Amino acid sequence: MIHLVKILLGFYVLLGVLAPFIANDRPLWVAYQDGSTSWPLFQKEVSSEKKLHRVVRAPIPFSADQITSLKNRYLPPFSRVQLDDRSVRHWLGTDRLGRDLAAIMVHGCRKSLYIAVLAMGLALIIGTFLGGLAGYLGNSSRLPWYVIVVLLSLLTYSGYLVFALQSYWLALTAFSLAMAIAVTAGIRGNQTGWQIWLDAFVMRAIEVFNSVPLLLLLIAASSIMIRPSLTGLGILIGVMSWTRFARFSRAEVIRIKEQEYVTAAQISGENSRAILSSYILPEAAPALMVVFIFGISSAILLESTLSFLGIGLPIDEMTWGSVLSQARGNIRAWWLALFPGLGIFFLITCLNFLADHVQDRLRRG
Amino acid sequence: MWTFAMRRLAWAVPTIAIILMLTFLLTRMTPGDPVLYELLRSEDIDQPLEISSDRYAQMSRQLGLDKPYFYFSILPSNVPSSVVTDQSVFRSMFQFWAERCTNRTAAQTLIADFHDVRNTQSSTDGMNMVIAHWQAQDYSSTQHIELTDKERNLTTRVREVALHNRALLSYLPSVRWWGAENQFHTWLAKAIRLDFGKSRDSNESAALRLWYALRWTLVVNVLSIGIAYLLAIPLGMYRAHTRGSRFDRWSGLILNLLYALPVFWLGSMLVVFFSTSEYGSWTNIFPSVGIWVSYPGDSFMQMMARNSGQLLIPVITLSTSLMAYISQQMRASAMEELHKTYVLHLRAKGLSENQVLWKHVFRNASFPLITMLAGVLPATLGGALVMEVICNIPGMGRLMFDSVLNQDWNLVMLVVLAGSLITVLGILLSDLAYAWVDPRINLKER
Repeated sequence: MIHLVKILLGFYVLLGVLAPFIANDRPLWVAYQDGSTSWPLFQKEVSSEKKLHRVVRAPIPFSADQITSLKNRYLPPFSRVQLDDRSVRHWLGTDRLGRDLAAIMVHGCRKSLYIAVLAMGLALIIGTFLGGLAGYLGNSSRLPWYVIVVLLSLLTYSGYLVFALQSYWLALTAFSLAMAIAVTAGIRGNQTGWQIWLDAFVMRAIEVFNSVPLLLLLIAASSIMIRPSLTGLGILIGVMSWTRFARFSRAEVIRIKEQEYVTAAQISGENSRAILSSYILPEAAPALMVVFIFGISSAILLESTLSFLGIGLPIDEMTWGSVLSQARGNIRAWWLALFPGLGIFFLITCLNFLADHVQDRLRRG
Repeated sequence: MWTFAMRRLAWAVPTIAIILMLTFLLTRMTPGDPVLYELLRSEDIDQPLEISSDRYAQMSRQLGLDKPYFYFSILPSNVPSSVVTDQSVFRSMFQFWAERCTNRTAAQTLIADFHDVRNTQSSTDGMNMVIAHWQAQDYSSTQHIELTDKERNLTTRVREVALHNRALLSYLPSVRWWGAENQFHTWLAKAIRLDFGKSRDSNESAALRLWYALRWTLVVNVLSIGIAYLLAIPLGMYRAHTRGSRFDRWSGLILNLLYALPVFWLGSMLVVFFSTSEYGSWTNIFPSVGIWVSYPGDSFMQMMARNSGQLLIPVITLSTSLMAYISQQMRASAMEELHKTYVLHLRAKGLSENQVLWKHVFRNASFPLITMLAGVLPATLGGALVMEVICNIPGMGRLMFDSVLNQDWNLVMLVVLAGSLITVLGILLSDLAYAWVDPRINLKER
């Protein structure tokens, strides 16, 4: 069973990574009659003057956003159409505007995986950072007042850069700088300065984020994104779902901190950073992976729900969810309901099975 | 227990306040000008440029939009305060220029000159064309338009500024304090008195529209949660009882698959395949989606009785995925109980298997189910949202969805408030229920 799951997941990942090679309206490789060859896939322009000799095309000779002809709207699976001078099949049919469903499926897989991995990567970084630090330092760490002032102003400034100036890279730089200062200063463990109620603060923040009606807020937030994009949606989902990692890594760090080998390391004079990075984090990592896999599956679900509702992504960005929503408009087009749904369903099921499997392995030791 | 509840409720206040502030600011940052919308709707004006500044200012005062958004604003320090308080259609254009001016005075003069040209000279057609270009952020193709000297002068200056990169000074923020005279405060002051304003297009109050929608959502949620529990408890108990059997294994696999089934997919499939006779005569099981029968003067109950068929698909869909989740939990917690020694004792005492299961094991195994009940409510709210959109049920999710698309911010704020209240109360209730069922839980330590 688990082998089947792994093979399927590998298939999905391959599909996502190789999407442009699998479904593309441009030929992969062309040999002209004068003997020269080219890879149109990687070029902006394809010279049309030269006579073609041999052409290697992608298995699905359509792009996800390619509208061949409005005559080809809502074609059922296996229909044969004339494209230029070739006869090609729409293996999975076409959608409302005559786009090829198979191509949309392949590229939709790529988009879903991209958003989910981006979102959960972000959530993993923020959540593990905050949760781990809160668990390790508790409420007793102290920082000199000027460090606190610098930290707070850097954080506020990065918010300013995002909301007032929309310069995201600068904001990211300021944010990372703040995090670096926080880690360096926090782990060193000062004895003087202001007491930081880090644990209490993080717990409160988790509570606040958990009582946000997520879907409602995402609808409100994504409707105002100035330029909706895949990356924007990924970041939004990531920022909203860091709490699952924070809660988990906090609990893990607190558990591991009490282990004897950590105490031994503390007594033998290892500094806190070494303890955190080489004693505590590796121990917590496998368990975090389980949360990560579950997180990926729920991010995919969330993304497809949002795009099903037509929220958060540009209208011309075709994903599994958005093509599925077209089935509501034309009840006869059963293929629009069936195939994208199957794609989402199998991906989520496989991820859940994998996570369960890893969890079982961990529990058994 | 009461002190715990009070403390949690006290913490809920800042939580909800933060959520509301965030939503409020998000709604104000949306592209689209509500004053312009209202003006274009109420009068027969087609062109934004035909609106006089006085009319615009009057309308924005009337809507309460002439004030700053929040208690304070953090703006680039070369942007003059007048951009925040300025009452004209061109506000976003001004901000764009101001961020490129080297200092605040330069920006202020530019804006003042703009107003001057536009008002006193009652702009020429040429100037109107230029402004239309500017609104589309097109500053280079305005050179060949015929203008008066004064207008030409202004156009040159604007082009110089606008084609410039953002001034360095704009990276320096400056905080400006506006006091209680702001839009959020006005909204909050009203909301505390339970006045949530009017919905944008229909002249009904937002609270009334929320109530109409909430009824449907509650009916759908209560029905699907109830059905899910009714099915899941016996199933979970039976599977725990016959653990390892073929039935247990197969139903486990199926439930796992059902749990991974996206709610919106199952809903769409039911709508596509089973609401018409397109795919064979027997497939027309459910009534067509979104066709509501109602007569004027119907009460809510009559309305529901007439359209109960409409609720079938959402209730079936929601309760299926919930049932899968709950019965897995039920099985897990019943299994845990069955391994305990008191079960052995009960069996040795000669109790029938039914009595052991339902009288003793079930009672102990039901703790997590009770806590889940409150946690499930906010989760189903999300699922119900999607189902309402699919099946066209006029519930809360549909309301939120439509009001965001209509930019009906009064309604959006109210729905977010209601949603977060339900979530916070749900979490609180689940904690309290846990302590109530299991007296060993010490809430003070939490």
